[in-house]
Formats: sequence, structure tokens, C-alpha cells
Amino acid sequence: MVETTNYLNTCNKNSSASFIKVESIPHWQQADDFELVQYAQHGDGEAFGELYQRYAHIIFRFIFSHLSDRFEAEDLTEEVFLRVWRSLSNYREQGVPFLAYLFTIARNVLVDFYRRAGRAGGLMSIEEKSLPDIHSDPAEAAMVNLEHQQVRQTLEQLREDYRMVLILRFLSGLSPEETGEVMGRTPGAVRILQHRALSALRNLLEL
Amino acid sequence: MFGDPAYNQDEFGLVLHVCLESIENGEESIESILPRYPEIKDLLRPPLEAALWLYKRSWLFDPNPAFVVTSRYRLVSQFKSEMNIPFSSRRIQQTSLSPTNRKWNTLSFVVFLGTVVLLVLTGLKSIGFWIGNSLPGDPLYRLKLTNEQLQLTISFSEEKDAQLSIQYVERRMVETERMILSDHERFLPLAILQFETQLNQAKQTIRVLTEKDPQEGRIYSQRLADVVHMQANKLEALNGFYPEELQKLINRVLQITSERVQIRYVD
Repeated sequence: MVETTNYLNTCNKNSSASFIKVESIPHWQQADDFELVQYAQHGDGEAFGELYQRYAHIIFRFIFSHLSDRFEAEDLTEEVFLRVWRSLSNYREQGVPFLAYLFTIARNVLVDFYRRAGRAGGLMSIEEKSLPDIHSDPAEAAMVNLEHQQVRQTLEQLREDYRMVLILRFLSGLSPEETGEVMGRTPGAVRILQHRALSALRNLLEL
Repeated sequence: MFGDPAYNQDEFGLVLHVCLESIENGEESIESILPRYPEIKDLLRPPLEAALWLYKRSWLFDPNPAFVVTSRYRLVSQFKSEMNIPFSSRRIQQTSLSPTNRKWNTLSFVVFLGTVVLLVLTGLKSIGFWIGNSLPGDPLYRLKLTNEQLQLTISFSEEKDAQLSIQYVERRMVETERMILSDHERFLPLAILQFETQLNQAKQTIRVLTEKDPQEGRIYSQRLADVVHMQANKLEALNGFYPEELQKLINRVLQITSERVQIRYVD
């Protein structure tokens, strides 16, 4: 962290010699999101790579909880990060945490996807799809896809804010504070919403 | 909704969250944690069961690890290649602190500014050219007359007024000649009217100057006569080459010239 901060300071002093030091700052894991965003805004692809490493799985889970096709979810996850990269200059840390910014773009990507899919004649049903999966055994892959589909369909029966809080908290694995940032609520409000959403979900389940 | 009045919604939400964390960390199970909250255990059980149901299935939404690695590599490579393009076609606008990017930004701004200035100057010059060459009947001709009147208004000496007026009379006659030569006879009567008006204005200006300075007045009246007669001679030479209808208009100009420009200021 100290090294990266010093690096920023040397950049600010307009030293082209110190700017070349970018290759000697590999401690991205120690930098916080804001610092990584700053480096990325200066064109540092590796800093953005670290942001990707931190958030790709969270974004993927969020997107995959809305889709039935894993490959489409992978494509859309990449698209989210591409859009973030290309709009990074517009991002200012004040007001909107990076995570919330990321989810805003993820939602936009999903909306665009649904719009495109709608124009193209709608999304395919699970029966129409091949079952692309990471599992080598076709039977196992089919079971996994079926189970994934059941979770998705169960969540789809909930109202939007309940579904969102459950996806963010239990599938994307965000804390109440992070979920609050994404949803624009206080952590306390997220905890209350989470309780209601879980109760509503329990009513749907046949346990 | 809450059985025990000792717990409000906030507190219940917090208790639920604490229970969830303990279960998620593997420290507790539902059955082991509920006895700690006997007064609300019936309320806690359903959401905890639902949460456990989701926890158990969250792995279904995990990305393929190979995808994350290859995707990261692919994206970073793409970003690096984009950054190597000086005038990038990326939509991103760099607000970079880096000296390299700042240099490019400054250079591109200077080029942009230079292009804008060049376009504006070229545009103004073109507009000026078209206004200056406009003839009666042209859309820009009114601008030409307005500009001339403006120059007369902002000139603060009678000499300058006289000088400009003579120049404008000459312009009107040249316009008339150009209209004859380019077969613009439709608006020729308008041009003749403009010429007549301009000539009267010039005479009036010179008269004012003469009252103030008779010697200067004589000089300018002679200059007006020379200009008008020179242009009239040109028109007279053209007269024979045009049909009778057009000849009448040319003769009208010549007549105005001979009637109005007989200014002879004798001491």
C-alpha cells in the first residue's frame, strides 16, 4: 500500500522516469479499489486485471442467477468489465463505491441482453438449450443444470428487491454493507430486507 | 409479526445476521444456534432454513476457474493493446496524471483547437468573399448593404464618409455592369435603383463636406465625377452589344449619370 501510494505521488510530480516504474509495482493485492481504479484510469491494464480478479466471480454469479446458460453468463461478465474499462474515466470515487458502479453496469448489460434477446425472438428455454457445463459427465451436467434452473425459478417468484438481496447476499457473497452500497440502502435496511426475503423464500420451499 | 416485544425489526435483523454468519462460517448449525434465542426461535427458523437452502446451492453459480483466468488474460491484453494507440479510438477519455498521456492530451487539444480556428477563419473568409461578390437579388446582398451602412455609421469624419460613399457608388456601377455581362437582367432595375440611391447619398455627403471644407469638397466631387464617368464609359461601350430591352436599362444608368453628376464647384 505504501509503495503504491508513493508511486502515485511520483506520478503526480510529472516524473517520466518514475512513471516507468509501473512494472516494479506488483503489489496490487495490497491496493484498495480506489487505488486500483486510479491506476487503471491511467491506463494500467494490470491494475484493472486485479479489479477483475476481485470481482469477476461476484459479477458472474449475479449474471448467472439471471440466466440459464453458463456461456452466455461468461460472455456478459466479460462485457461488463469491458464496459467498465471503457467508461472508467467517467467514474469518480466520491459518492459511488466501485462495487456499486460495477453492479450498475452489470444490470445495464443484462437489460441490453434481454432487449437483444427479445428482438431476436426471446430467450431459449432450458429444453432447447444444449447443456454446456464444466462437468465432463453429461448426466451430472444435466443434474447440475436442472438444479441451477430450479434455484433460479424459485428466486424468480420473489419480488424484485427480495430476489436482489438474496442474490447479492447469498449467491454473490456480499456483506450487508456491500449489498447496501449496491442497492442504495443502509446495512440495517438490508438486514431487515434480507429477513423478509428469506421468510418469503422459505414459504416457497418444500423443505 | 415479532412475537417478543423485546425485539424490533432492526434487532431481529441483526440477530438473524449473526446467526447466518455463524452458520456460514461452519461454527454453528440451525439446531445448535436456535436454543440461544428461545423467545424468537420459531421466527428465526424459517429464514435460517431458507438461507441454508441457498448456501448449499450457491456453488451452482460459481464461475469456471479456467474462465476467470483466461478471461482476465484476454481482457488485460486487450486493454494493453488499446493503450498503445496514441489517438485511441476507445470511447474512454483519459484524465491521466501520467506525463505521457498528458503530452498526448495537450498535443491533441492543440491540434483540435488549430483545426477549429482554421475552419472558423476559412468559413469567415468564404462568407466574406460571397458577401462581397453578391449582386442585387442575391440572398447575401442585404448583408453587403448593411455592412456598408455600418461602416458609414462608425466613420466619424466627413472626409471618410465622402470617400466611402464614392467607393459605394463605384460598387453599384460595377454591380450593374456585372449583371449586364452575366445576363442577370431580371434584377437590373433593382441594381439601377440602388445605384441611383447611392449616388444621391454620395452627393449629399460631399455637400456636407463642402460646407465644412469647400476645398476638400471640390476634390471629392471631382473624384466622384471621375469614377462615375469612367464606369459610364464602360457601360456605353457595352450598349451596342445588347438587345433593345437591355439597352433601355443601360441608357437609364447613363441618363442618371449625366443628370446627377454635373457637380462643378467653381470658386
